[in-house]
Amino acid sequence: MFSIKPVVQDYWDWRAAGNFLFGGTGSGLMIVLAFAALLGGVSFPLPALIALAFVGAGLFLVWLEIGKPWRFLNVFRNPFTSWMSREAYAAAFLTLAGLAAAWTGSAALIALAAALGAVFLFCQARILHASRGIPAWRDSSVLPVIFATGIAEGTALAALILLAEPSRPAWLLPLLLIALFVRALTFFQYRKRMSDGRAPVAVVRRLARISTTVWTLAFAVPAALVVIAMAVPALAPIATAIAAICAVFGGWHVKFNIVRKLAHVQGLAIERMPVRGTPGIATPSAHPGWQRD
Amino acid sequence: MTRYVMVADLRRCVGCQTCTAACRHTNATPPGVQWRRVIDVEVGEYPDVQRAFMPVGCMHCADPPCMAVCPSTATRKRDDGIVTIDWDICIGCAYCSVACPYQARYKVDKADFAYGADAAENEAEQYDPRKLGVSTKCNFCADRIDEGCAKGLTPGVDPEATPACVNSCIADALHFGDIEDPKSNVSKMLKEHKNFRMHEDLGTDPGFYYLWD
Repeated sequence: MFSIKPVVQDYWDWRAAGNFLFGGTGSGLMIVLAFAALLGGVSFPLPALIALAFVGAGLFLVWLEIGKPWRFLNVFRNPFTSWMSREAYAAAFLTLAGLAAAWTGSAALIALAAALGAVFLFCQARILHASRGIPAWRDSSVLPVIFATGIAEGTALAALILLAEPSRPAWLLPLLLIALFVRALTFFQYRKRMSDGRAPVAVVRRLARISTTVWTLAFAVPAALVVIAMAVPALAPIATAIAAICAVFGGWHVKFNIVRKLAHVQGLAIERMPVRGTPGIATPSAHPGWQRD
Repeated sequence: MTRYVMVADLRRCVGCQTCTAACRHTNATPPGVQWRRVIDVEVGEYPDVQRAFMPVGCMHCADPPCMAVCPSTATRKRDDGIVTIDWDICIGCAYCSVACPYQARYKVDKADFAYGADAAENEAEQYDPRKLGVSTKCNFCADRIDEGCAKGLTPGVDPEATPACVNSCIADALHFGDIEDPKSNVSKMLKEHKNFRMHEDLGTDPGFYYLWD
């Protein structure tokens, strides 16, 4: 892949995107689960294993993508500056703490796993933010989007998994409502920042195209269903289930777009055209694919 | 201290792609992999149109984003400013590729040659399976520089110690040298001519200068 104009990167495909989708959901679930266990006394061993399975699935997809899969241990070599190395460490410790928590049922260990889940989620966001070659990733507004959607997906999945749990905390649905709202807020703030000239024209257009779907799938529909679930107890199970599925898929839709569809490269630019003739005149810059053309 | 940089005189470059061919021959890069490219830029609308040719590739940044993100420490910067990749360590995650604002990096997963299944002579000589599945890019012909320096030659002045693309340039548009040496060819050129570097606003401190006046 090479283009003067910004085109969508093809270095990271759906497998890399899968890490952000599943990793965010899994780590978000672990965080919410710890609160549910500590504040509500929810039984967490099985849900904790589900959270780890999500994180593991994401990492497995990445492993399928790397060019030298049997050198994967080298990913641990640079925690000093690389967020990918840090993510690997966080994943390793998260897995250990999560398994230990599921095995022992220890509240302290699930709290530790939740903290590591938060670190893992933060690392995922910083991985994108550190990619200076991709304008839609390097802007700081991507950080809250990745973190907020991870929490929203985790809350939604917790609500789904704990549907039949008698000790399911009452604050789970209100929390989901808040998480959905915050996620929508961060996404539209992200879109605004991209539209302010921080991204190529193609990214801005793509964001405009997906905004309706994001608004509907990731916020309006699940939020309305959560309200219904809270207001009409008879409909609570079905409304909660559909809301949770919508919320998770809505988050995946956002992240898949960020990693795969909005990931246009910087493109090349010429700050000054060369002087021609005598006396020469140089026309100013050319930056194909950006607003200042 | 030494920092090797490249200077491209945009007024001289004619877009002949000889540098691209020389690089490909020297490094035997597979089809589609061009560590040294020359892009064709058109500005304006008819009849007020200007055209320029611009050599691009790895900018050997002083603050290379590819190095900071590399999880395996395969990407490193030498004391002379040249950014290199250790193919024995790289895991081929392509994080460096998305971190590079110059599209300078490539990853090829299987052997491919210019003329079909059989490697040409230079390709056979240079074939190195270590390059498969890992990140590759321009290294300013670091081997030539090291060997030349060991013989007491000056990079950018003596062809034996100078990158192949610079040696091959028919228009004398490409130059190479030590920017930290005020008496070097590149230091003098940059002092005498107006110049810019691509995407300087991204804070990479690139080591590739373009003369425009």
